[in-house]
Amino acid sequence: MNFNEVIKIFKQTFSGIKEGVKEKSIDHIETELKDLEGAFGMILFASLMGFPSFSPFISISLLPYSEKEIITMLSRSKFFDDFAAFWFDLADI
Amino acid sequence: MKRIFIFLGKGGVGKTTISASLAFWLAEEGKDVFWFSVDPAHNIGDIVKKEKLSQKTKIYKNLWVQEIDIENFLKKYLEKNAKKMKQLYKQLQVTQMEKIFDIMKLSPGIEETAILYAIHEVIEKQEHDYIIIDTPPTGFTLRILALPQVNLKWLTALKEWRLKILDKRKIIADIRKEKTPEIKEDKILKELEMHLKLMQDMNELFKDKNTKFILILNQDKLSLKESERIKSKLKLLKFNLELVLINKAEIAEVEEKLFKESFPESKIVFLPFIKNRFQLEKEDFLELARYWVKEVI
Repeated sequence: MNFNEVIKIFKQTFSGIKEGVKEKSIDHIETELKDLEGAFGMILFASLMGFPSFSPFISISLLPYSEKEIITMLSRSKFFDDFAAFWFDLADI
Repeated sequence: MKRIFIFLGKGGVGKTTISASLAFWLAEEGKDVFWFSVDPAHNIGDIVKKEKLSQKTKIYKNLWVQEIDIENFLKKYLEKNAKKMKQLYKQLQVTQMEKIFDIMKLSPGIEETAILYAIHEVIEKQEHDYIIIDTPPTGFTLRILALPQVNLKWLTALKEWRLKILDKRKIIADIRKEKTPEIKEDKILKELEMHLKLMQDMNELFKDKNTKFILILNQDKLSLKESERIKSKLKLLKFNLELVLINKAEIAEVEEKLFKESFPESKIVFLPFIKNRFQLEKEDFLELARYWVKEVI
């Protein structure tokens, strides 16, 4: 094994570690992002689901652009027993 | 500069009659006036003896009137958004979105917001010097007046929240070396900013020195109690109560002291009861106006 091959193996190893660290940090930000998107959707459209909250008149104008938030909100709700209760608890309602 | 007059009071105290007196007086003085109602139970038409006032109509000199059809305003707003949804999501072409949105008309609180947006649209569009707004009875109107301040808090928080989301999306895209649209191009952010601006405009308009709140009441305890609640709410919202008018004052013995105790910071004018009239005419409105209009013009 010559010197160049050793360098190559080092480069590959560090590159793998770097990618791993990068993906790990992205994972963390993505989880945070999904929480934010889910809760954002929940606040916007809670009134359309029967919870007293933000004016439905304004929510309706945001509805056409909120597909991503609604999908995230619904997908996140699968992981919690009672997502609404969690936010209501947080808001001390 | 536009001068706006908003009449408040319990149902049946004479808000429309008094607003008519101002409208005719200003028109008689040669002013350019737009007098409109946002009360779902309009009666400008009954006063001016005209039907179908859903379109702006000139009734006397430079006096224009309109009864805003809130139901129709709301219907158009919902249809516009249903259309937008159909254009964006092709799978909704087969869904009867209109029917779903039709049910949304009944959502609690939606009518009050629609009235606020209708008032904003009318005031933006109209170039008249004097605008007179005939409002629904107390409870409904107070909710409408409080909306800009309540929604400003919601919308400011939501805008900050949205910016956080967009910021996180950008961080992820930058790490992955992907392209993301500009933050300021985000459609939800743009919509939120549009609503935020409208709420700021309405809040400033209600607080403006050229916007005058005039409270009408009669000489009965219920009317007085409700008017005191209106006064407190206006104070809470930091809107200036310009004048208190005691309508049909001659019906009972005038108790000036009682009213002055209830409204120590406001000017109070007692208006006479115009007797022997089944329906008031223009001359009656002008006569009524002479008692109080000089206090606000």
